[in-house]
Parts: sequence; C-alpha cells; structure tokens
Amino acid sequence: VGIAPPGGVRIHVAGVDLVRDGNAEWRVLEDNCRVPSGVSYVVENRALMLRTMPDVAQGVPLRPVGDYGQRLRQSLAEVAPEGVAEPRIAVLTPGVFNSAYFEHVFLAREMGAELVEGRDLVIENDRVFRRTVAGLRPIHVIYRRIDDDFLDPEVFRKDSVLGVPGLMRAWAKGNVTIANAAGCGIADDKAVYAYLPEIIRYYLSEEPILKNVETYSCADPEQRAYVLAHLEELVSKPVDGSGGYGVVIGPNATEDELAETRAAIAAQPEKYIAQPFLNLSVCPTVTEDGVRARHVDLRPFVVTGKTSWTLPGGLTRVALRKGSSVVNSSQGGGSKDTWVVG
Amino acid sequence: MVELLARLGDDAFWAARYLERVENLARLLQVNDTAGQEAMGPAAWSRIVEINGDIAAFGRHGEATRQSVCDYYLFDAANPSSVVTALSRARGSLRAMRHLISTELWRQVNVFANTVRADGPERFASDGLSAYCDWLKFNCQAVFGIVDGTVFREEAYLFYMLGRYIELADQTSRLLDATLRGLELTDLPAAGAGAHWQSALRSAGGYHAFKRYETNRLNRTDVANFLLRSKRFPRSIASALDGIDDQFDMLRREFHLRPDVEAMERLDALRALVAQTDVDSPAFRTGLDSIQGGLIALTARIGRSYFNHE
Repeated sequence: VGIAPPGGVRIHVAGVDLVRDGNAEWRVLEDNCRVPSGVSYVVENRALMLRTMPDVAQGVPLRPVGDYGQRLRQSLAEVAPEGVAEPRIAVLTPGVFNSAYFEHVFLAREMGAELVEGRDLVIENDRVFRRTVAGLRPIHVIYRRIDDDFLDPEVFRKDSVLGVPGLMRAWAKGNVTIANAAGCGIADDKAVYAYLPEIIRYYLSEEPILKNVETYSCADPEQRAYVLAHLEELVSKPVDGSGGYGVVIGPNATEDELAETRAAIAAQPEKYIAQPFLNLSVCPTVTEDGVRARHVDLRPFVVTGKTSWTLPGGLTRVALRKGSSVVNSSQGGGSKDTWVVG
Repeated sequence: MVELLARLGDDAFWAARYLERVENLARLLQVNDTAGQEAMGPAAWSRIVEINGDIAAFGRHGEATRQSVCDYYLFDAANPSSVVTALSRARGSLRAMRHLISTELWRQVNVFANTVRADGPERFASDGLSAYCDWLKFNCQAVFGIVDGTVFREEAYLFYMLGRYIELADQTSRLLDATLRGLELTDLPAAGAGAHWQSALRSAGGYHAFKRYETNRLNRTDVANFLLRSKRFPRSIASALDGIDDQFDMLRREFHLRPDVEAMERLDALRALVAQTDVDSPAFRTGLDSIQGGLIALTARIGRSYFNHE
C-alpha cells in the first residue's frame, strides 16, 4: 500500500472465470488475479488440435492463441523499471515438484524468459540479480508463480525457502517489476463479489457490463440469515478457497454435509459466501459412455502492460464427472480447445 | 547474449556424466558376460564391484554373481552407481532445463528413464543380459545423437560435453584398472592374458579399430597404450582430455568464460600423467588412481569456476 509499482500496473495477468446460467446469460463467477493459471493448456490444446485434426479448422477464420508468450513478454517489457533499455524478464517458479511446473516451463520458453527458482536470485543494493555461469547478472521483471506468502522471507513467511530475501525491498525501490504485484489476492477473495457491482459503480461510475454471479456474504447478518435458511438451494464456498476445495453444492449435498456447513458458517461467518446454484451451460464431451453433456466454464486471460489485451480464446474447463459442476483440474476437471472466430 | 544460470550449467554437466555412465556400465556388463567370463570365470563379476569401489556397499548383497551384480548395477535404486539411479538423476537434471531443450530430447530421456524404472527387471529377465544392454546402449546413443544433431551450441552444450569427456576419461581408466585387477586375480602367465585384453577392448568398443591399426597383439603394452593414448580412438583417455581442453577453449573464446587457473593446471597435470605413464610398470595401477583423482579435482575446480560451488 502506498507504493506505486513500475508502470502503475499491479495485475499484469488476470484470469476471469465466466459461466452461462440457466437463462443463457453470461456471468462472472470469480476473478483470479493472484497467480492465474491454465494458459499453457489453452495454447497446447490448440496446437494438439491443429496437429491431430487439421481439417477441422480449414476455412475457419480462427483467431490464433499461439502468440500469447510474445504478447505477454511485450506487455511486461512495457512496464519494466524506468530507464532500462533491454529489460531482462524471469519466470519465478517454486521448482520441478510444483504441479504447475509444466506451465512455468511453457511460459519461460514462449516468452523467451529465464526460468529461475528463488535460490538463483540474490538482492544486492536493492536490485535483483541472478546467478549465472559468468557471475551475477540483473533481472528487471519477475513473473512470479509463487504465492505472496512465500515470496520474501524478510517480509512474509520467514520459513519460506522458495522466495528471495529482500525482493520486496527491491520492488519498493522501483528496481524490479513483479507480475502480478503482491497483494492482488484480495481481488480473488470471493467475499468481494458481494460488493462488486457497487465497487464498479463507485470507482468507475459505470454500470457493470457483465453481471457477476449473485453473491451473499455471510459476514453480513441479513445475508447470513438468508444463506442459512436456503443452504440446500445454494452453493457455499470459503472466501479464500481455490481449486474447488470446500465448495458445498446445496442441491447435491447430504443432510450431514449441510449440517456441517451450517456449523462452519455459524462459527466463522466472515469466511463464507454463498451463491445461487446455477445450471451451468453444457458442452458435448467425450466420456466413458460416449458423447455426453457436461458442465463447462470459460476462463479468458487478460494481459496488461501499457494497455490491456485479451487472448482471443480461453480455457474452457469441463467437469468430467456426470452431473458435477466442479471444473477445477485439481479435482479431475478437463479442458477443451476454445475457438474465437472472425 | 543470454548467460546460463549457474544451476543449469551444473545440471547440463551432470546429465551428461550420468548418461555416459549408463552407456559405459551397459558395455562393461555386457562384455563381462561373454569375454569376461571366458577370461576369468565367476571372478569376472566381483571384479565389477571392485572397479566401482563398491566392495563395502555391495557386501550385504551376498556373493558377487551374475544375477546379484546385474541387479545391483542395473536396477538397485539404493545404489548411487546403478543405471536406474543415473537415469533418474539425468532425467531430473534435464527436467530442470526443460525450457532450454527440445521436446525431442526430453521425450527420449523421459521415456528411457521411466521405462527402465517401470519394467527393467522383467525385461532383463525375458530378454537376457546381452539384449538388455544393447537396448540400454541404443537409448543412450539416441540421446547423444539428438544432442549432437540438434542442440544449439551455447554454454549449456559446452558444459554437457565437458561432462561427457570427464566421465569417459574416468570410465576408461576404471576399465583399465579392472582389467589389470582381473589379471592379478587369475594369476595367468602373460600368454594367457590375451582374453582379458580382448574383453577390455570390446567393452570400450575399440576391438576392431585396434586390430586394424595396431600390431595385432593382444597384450598389456599395446592395448593399454591404445586405451590410454590413441588420439584416433574416441574413447581413449587422451582423446577425452583433448575434448576437455577443446571445451575450455570454446568457453573462453566464444563466451568469455575462463576456467580458473587451478582448473587449467589440473588439466595440464592430467595430460602430463597420460603422456608419461609407463603402462608396463608395476606402478601403472597407481598411475590410474592418480588419473581418477585428478579428474575428481578437475570436476571440483569446474564447479568453482562456473557453478557457484564453494
């Protein structure tokens, strides 16, 4: 707070989850502004599709997604610290054992950026350097795929071995651009959604172009009462959850699960939100029983440097289990190649 | 110019060493089975344990037989010198450099390492030692071929080649050492030693070259000289040292990455050793120990020069 990041940008990469509800209306389900992932699947799915079924795309004015890496690189270079002629960009990964390592490799390669771990970096004179075979060399932009908590043991969790001691010092001095900036996780907090339409009206003086999924914040006594009374019709979620964990889908839950959830909400109401159960749109999907309808959502990616650019495509995630609306890959969801034409 | 991360230079160096180690082990075991056994019977197997300095570690596996030694050096994940361990480490190193290598190269190493781990013992049991070692060699050579044919010649490649040459020099010196040891164990008159020397040449893949260009005598003087000094034979120690020198040269000239003074001194000392060693002297085995020690010291200096080691 109170520090202007280079170029004024905090959210360089955003992944916005969209759904279509029972009225075929598009709604924003949630924002992912901390460390949004999945773009590697977008590009790889397309490449695989074109390789295995090239005839399917013939004659179709298909917007390409393969230049994501170059675009991202360009955007990040645009908001590098002032006065740097050729900004050096690095992707900061927790390492090979991270479940998203594939995507970190993908990003580094597609962007032509370095792939570094915390131990490869060192802060000297509040500037960031990487350890090379030729000695220390500067880094100007870091696309970090490590959670805030682990980013800098000097400032956040002291026991983190994944981060770089002093990194936030370098950032505060404006010597390095960190994408996305620390603290963006607040936008991912699901409770914010209860207030988002008001936030848009207040700060932008606009009406929201896209509605978001109605969200009830259990921190508010009236909304909490409503939630507790209608729990079996709603979808309740922990505000700081990810990966689909902790989500209780009212219509599919057992009496025990509902009772547990009521108790949890009563104990820590500020930690829960609830949303109406949406009959999400479906897409034909190859399953063990043949081609069947399965629920999907869409995550487009938005990259911001001096200007914002949206990838003409996105990650369509599909809930592979029959009847399930949980699309997260960490819970067995799949993905589909997604086309924007024209 | 993009400078390579120190950690990845280290990874490239060691990936090469581990892969070279796998190929040499495959050669050694394969030849030991035929020419080795022919020369010295079941003692051929304990000799393998000796070359690798594993007498103590192998101890609890009982007697050194064909089965126990092959199990230990092919599939024992607890053995730091086994094929399965070496492949796992090579794979790990290359995975860390995944963004710098081609999909072709990664796929070859990944499938190779995973296959050995998944069904090595079954395949070994059904195919037999010779065919399995052929398969191991073939897969190593596929990796080397992909690197040779496609990898961009920058720092990572030079560190990889350094790793291969150092490992090769080490393995050839161990091979010579093992042959001498085998002769000591079998206590044969000089005339009967031919089979041992033939076994050594076959392990190194140099038998036919030797027969074409040398005096055609399978004796200690000629074969040891060949494996030690022949500049035309790519697996000789002298050729490997030349290779190391070439990599240092290119690192310095093309990338301004000069090895430290001690590293160059170590290399010079090794070349002097190779030039001056008398293969017929009883001190030859000590000379080979010195070569191995020199290579270890050289590796340490390379680590300090480039990989940020203390």
